[in-house]
Amino acid sequence: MLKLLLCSRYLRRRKVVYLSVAALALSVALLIVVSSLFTGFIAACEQSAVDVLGDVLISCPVKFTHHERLIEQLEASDQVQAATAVMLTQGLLHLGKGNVRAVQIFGIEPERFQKVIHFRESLRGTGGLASLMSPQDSTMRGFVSIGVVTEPNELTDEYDYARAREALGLRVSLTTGSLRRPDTQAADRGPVRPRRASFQFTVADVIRSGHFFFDRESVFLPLDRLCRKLDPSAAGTYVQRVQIKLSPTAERASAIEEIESIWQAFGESIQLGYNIQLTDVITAVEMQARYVGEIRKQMGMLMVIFGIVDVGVIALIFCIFYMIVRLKQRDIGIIRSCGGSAGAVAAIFLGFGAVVGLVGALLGVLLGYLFTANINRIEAWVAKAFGLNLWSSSLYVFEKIPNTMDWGSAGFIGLAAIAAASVGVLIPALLAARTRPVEVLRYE
Amino acid sequence: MYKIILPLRYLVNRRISLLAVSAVALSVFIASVVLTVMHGLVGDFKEKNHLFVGDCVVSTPSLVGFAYYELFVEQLEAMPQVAAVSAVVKSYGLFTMGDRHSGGVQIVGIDPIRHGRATGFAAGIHYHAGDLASLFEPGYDPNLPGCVFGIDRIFLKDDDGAYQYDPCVPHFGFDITCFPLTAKGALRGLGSVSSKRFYLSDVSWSGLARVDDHYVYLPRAEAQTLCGMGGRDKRINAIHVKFSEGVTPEEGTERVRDLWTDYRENRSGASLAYLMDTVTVSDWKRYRRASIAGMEKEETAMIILFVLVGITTVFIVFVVFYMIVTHKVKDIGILKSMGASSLDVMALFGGFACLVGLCGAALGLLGGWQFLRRVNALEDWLHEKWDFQVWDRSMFAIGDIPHDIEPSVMGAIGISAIFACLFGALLPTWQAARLRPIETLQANQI
Repeated sequence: MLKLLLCSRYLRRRKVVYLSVAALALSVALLIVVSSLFTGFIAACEQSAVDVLGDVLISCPVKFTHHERLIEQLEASDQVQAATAVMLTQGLLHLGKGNVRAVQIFGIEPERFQKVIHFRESLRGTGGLASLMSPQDSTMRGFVSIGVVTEPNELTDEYDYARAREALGLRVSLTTGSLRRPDTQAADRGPVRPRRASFQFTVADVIRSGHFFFDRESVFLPLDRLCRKLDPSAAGTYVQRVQIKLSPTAERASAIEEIESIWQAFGESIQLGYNIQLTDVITAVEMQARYVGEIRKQMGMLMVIFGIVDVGVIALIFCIFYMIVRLKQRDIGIIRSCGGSAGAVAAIFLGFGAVVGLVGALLGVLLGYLFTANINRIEAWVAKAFGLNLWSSSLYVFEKIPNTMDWGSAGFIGLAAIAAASVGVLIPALLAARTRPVEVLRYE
Repeated sequence: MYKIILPLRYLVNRRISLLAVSAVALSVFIASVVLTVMHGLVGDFKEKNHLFVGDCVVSTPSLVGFAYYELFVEQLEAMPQVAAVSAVVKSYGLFTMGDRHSGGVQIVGIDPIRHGRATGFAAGIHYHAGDLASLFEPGYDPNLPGCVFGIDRIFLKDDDGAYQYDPCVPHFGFDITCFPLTAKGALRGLGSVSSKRFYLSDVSWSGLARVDDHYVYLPRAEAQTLCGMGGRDKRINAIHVKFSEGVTPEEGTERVRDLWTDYRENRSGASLAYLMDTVTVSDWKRYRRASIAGMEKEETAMIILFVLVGITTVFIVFVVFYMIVTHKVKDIGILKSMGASSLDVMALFGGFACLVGLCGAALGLLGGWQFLRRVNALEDWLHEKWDFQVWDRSMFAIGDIPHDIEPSVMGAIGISAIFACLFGALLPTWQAARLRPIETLQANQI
């Protein structure tokens, strides 16, 4: 009881203790914000990969036909919820006078694609991806990503939606580079001949995924019509990628194994030869692994740097407690003379240090949470007040700063703060414990 | 004299003050290392951008470009402030190599000799180093039309970030496809796409990831034909200018802007004069600000973080001074009773704060300097022993960790440390100055 009473008294009366609480809270908040921002960014990278690619990808180095059969086989598996084939190519999009953009063309099966891919926001969105379909004899319809028709504002990072809406119904011209009809059955594929195709399509909708690079240069066209435009002599459609959404109960490793075996059997059936082995069957998250690894490394280094600097907090707590012990010599003497053991005296100061650590850590976590949760508002305010745009999607991929609190790191940092406070208070506590009443209570 | 002796005595005898010195030294050490590396990275990135575009760029954002540039180039070359000029075509295109590799590229049409003089282009050429005249002649057959690709499209990097060059330029053919645009910006009829096969004659390195991955250099005349910018009134998209020794980019750009304004007025009656409406004259920093601003923001954010972290150091100094003042009330009382004014007491503790800051800053900077001297050797050792690199060189266009001491950065950190100490000591010093001898020297306190 005495220990608690003294702890709370020192905490209330010795205002200098608030300094150590403030320093601790500041350090904890800083580390939590850094950790949360990095962790949020990494999570956003991985989630955006899943959003725009699905859970698993089969990426073949050559284009192949009969993909409907592969999709059927995949969807027959319990591990797979949905799968869709995608044809990828590069192109140049002519949007108007002198306005030419290099674009990534996605040939998609709208209904299936919709089951695998999750776009965060489509501007109209009433018909979903199915509105891409149009009668065969009419002009082809296509979707363009928002960055193709409008740039994000330099200061606010917001797209000009009015301008994006103006693009709806616009008839644009697209040209793609050389393509060769795949003939996987033929042993001798003959010399490679470049092929080129130019055609028009109507912008049916504008898509925004929230991923800058995806939003910057994507064009979506119906797979069947795109293939016919690219190679009118081709019998069917051909693709080089299959995007898969796993079922919620799927176990990742076994799902990959099963997908690989389905792919192996399919590849053999259409005689893909060595391209079967050259094909990547990989999760969208694994595709990001190298980049994410580098970000984690940068985060680790930043945490170590700030962690080293925060050693200063231990020094600060040491100073403050040393001062308190020196000023409270008489209190200590009285406790000792009333029968308090050296351990009890040390426990008072260690407990006091732990309370300071706890209060500082809690305040730091609260501060860190408030800052992290409101970081987009703070950034918007800074941009408005000082004209300084700290975050831009062109630089950091995402339109919004990830603002999810990393509670795991916060807990660890909070505990580390309490431990640091206890370390800082250790020597003053020992000094207090060694105090002899006869020395401090004598009156000359 | 006591204002010098007492601070020195406090520093030596009061061991607690060494804690303040250590805290300052630690903060200065970390700040000097991190900010030097960051400053080096930003400086290196800026320099690469500067070399990439030259000192000044006269350009239009429109892919249609602008005409009547030949005479303006001649006028520029006649200016004493201008050392070299390069007219450039810029457009988008597609490259295809067989049926496997295809992609979007930024097409840049140049006169290699002129572009080499106006920018740092020549330094990034590998197989034709020192021989830009034959840059577009592939070594395996000089009669073939040549092209120069950004190096990242052709060669891979090893773990140390070094490119794995082939001994001779690889025999690759690329079909380059463009949209030819009319002077009014319209497409020259649907299906009118220009395409030509070029053969790799060299690779270009700029150290800028987007450039080295997306650019293909073609002879300017070929690029003009492909993009529909040839013919009677040839068009280009940009003019890169390098200024003579002693002319700053800002001064030179101002002169070029004046010249362009006059030139544009004189040509206002020409049939394609409207194309000059979108032309701007920018120095290299402004021209590349979209790329550079991000790095500068990160450097600013890092400085702000260190300012926040530095608050702890201010707190430590405050507590240490508070303790010293509390313990030295008798000294202060004696000094005051002997005639020292409050200002003298403030000067005494202010001097002590300066001394703490100075010692901490000196120690921290010395440590930082020694660490930076060895940082690359340390990273090599870590890489060899633990396979750890600060940056994966096969992913990032970064060479050695920047370690050049920048006096302005070091000076700013050192001065900030001294000011932090003065700030931290402010309140205790003020309290010391307000002490009254009668209170501090009372007998019952002895």
